[in-house]
Amino acid sequence: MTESKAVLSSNKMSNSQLLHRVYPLLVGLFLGFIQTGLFFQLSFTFSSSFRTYVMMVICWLVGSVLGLRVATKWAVPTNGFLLIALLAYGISSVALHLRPFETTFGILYALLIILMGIYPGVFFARMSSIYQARRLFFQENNGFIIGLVGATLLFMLVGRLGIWVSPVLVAGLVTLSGMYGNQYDIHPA
Amino acid sequence: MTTRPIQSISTEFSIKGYLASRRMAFAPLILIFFSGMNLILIQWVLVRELTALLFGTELVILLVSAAYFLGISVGYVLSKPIHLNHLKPLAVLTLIVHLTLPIWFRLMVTGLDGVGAYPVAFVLLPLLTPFVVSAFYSIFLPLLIDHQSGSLTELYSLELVGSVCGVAILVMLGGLGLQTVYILYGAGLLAILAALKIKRTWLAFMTVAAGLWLVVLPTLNTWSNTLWYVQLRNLPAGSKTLFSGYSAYQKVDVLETPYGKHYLYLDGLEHFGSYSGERLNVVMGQIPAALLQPPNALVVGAGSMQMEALIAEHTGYVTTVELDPMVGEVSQRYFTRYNHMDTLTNHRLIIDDAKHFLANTHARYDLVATDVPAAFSIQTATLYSESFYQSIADHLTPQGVLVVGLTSTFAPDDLVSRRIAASLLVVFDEVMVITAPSAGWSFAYASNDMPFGRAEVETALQARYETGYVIYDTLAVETVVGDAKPITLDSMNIVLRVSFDRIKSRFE
Repeated sequence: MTESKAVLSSNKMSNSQLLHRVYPLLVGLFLGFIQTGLFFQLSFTFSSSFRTYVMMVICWLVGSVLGLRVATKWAVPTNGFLLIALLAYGISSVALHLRPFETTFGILYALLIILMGIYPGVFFARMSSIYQARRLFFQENNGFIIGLVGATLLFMLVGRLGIWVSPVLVAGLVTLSGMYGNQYDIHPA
Repeated sequence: MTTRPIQSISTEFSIKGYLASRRMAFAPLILIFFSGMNLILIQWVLVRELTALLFGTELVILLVSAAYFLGISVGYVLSKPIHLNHLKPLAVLTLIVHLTLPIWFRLMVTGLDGVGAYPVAFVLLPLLTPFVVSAFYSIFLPLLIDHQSGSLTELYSLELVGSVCGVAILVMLGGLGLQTVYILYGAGLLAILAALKIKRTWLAFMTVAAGLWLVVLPTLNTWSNTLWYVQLRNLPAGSKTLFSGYSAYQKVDVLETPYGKHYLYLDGLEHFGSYSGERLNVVMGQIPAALLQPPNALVVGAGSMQMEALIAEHTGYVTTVELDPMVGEVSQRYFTRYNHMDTLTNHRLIIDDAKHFLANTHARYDLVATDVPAAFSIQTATLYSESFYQSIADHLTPQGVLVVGLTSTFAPDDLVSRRIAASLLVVFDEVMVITAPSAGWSFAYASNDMPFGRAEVETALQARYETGYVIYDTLAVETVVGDAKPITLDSMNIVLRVSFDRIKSRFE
């Protein structure tokens, strides 16, 4: 599907155009929130050592590569991967809250971060047929910056509640965008 | 949306014969892979350097990180109007600018401070960062996808693999210093220049020039570093940089004045060196150790490790837990005059996150003292939180004592020290706060069964030439704390305040 085709020519044109512009930004916002939120939680209730940071970055990148190359071919809707990422984030948050500094959970967190990383990989792979690469990366990155700054400020002002609730709310917006602008929740060919 | 009909890179080069075709089909992959790798490497250098130049606080870290990622967006925008031919001079410029980046950023800030315009740096550096640091590398991905040099899936995967390699380089070689990281970074940029088909003579020239620059870099690095500290930190002329490095967590600097005094700076902020800092180690380490004679003591945070030496005189065994191995190394190497680590036999250093260490040890301590930076960032603020103090309390012996710096003078109008004291009051039955003029900060002794009283503390302070001190007992501490809330993981707005006040003070 090309970018021009994605913008429908019905009376829903303006809404579709809006969704079209906002959708990658919302996804970036979601990713910014969960990446920053998870980093804070791991730092404060698992370990703030460099190893934790490296585990997070490497696992996220590996997950994204898996998403781009492998998971995108699975017969799972894009929003399904969003749900998986959100669930992985939720499980990590609960585990970190209930069993802080549990070193043996390191492998569990690594796997959960890989699961989270799969979503952006699938998102980029599938949206490449809808959006121009430049616009897709630009919008997603802007959303990520807002998520990074927003999650940090939220954590300082509201505490953990802010970084627990905000990804759920943004994921809800992403899902609605996907459902409303039906073309986004595409399945693999 | 219309797109310009642009010939794909691989097609363009396929007319030059099989070998050329093979080489150039490979070129986009080189561009993308090394872009991913170098983005990680330059982030490592830049975030630490800029954070130190702007006196690292949480807001500065956030500002620098946001500026870096904004640069990636700038690159995506630039990928539309930019032509492939423009990338060659841009890559040459990037090589020159990036390899000299720490030097000219320091000189710029030093110059601004020299004309009384240091606050301009808070605007100028974050504005420059997106354009001169990260934008260049993010041009390639959308540009090459547009030029049909590969699909988004293929090229983006490769960029991510490059990023993984960048992280791996930092893990394996980051500790070897800026020169080592820059050798690999420069090699990555030269590979990009080669992939952009820069003339071989130019490539050879750039390689030699970069090599020569990397040879003189350590000298210029320490020279500009010293210049910055002399100007911004008012060190006397003739001071020299003994060590400057980027650790996994921060920029670590050790400077020596012409009089032989050593200073330790973490992210540009003084951690040890002043007279008040030494006095703080006396009142927070030596005095409680002398009063307790503890068999087992723990110090959270290494710093100069002078506190450990002062405690070790009166204790059976002292353990230091420090997150940053580089801080531990420089402390053992450059501060032996203060910490006697070369002769101490009842001390050990553990590299670990203190929160993680306490959660996973069964050891009990008679004395725990903290030597950590103020709550400039969220990371350090957690070391003043109620949950951290609870974790320490769980590892104290029944009459064990925790000693904490309050990072400012304890007073009814000082929110930071009141909130730290409030955190202590939640966990401990007894909290004694002392303001000792020579130490600068107020500090607190906290215990569930304090083994010494006000009289003993007064005697110990007087024996160490401390005059004009103020001692608050638990009731007085509760009164001064008033309605101040304890610091918790869900109440970190203190960081925002400390951070904002720090930046504001630079404008005054």
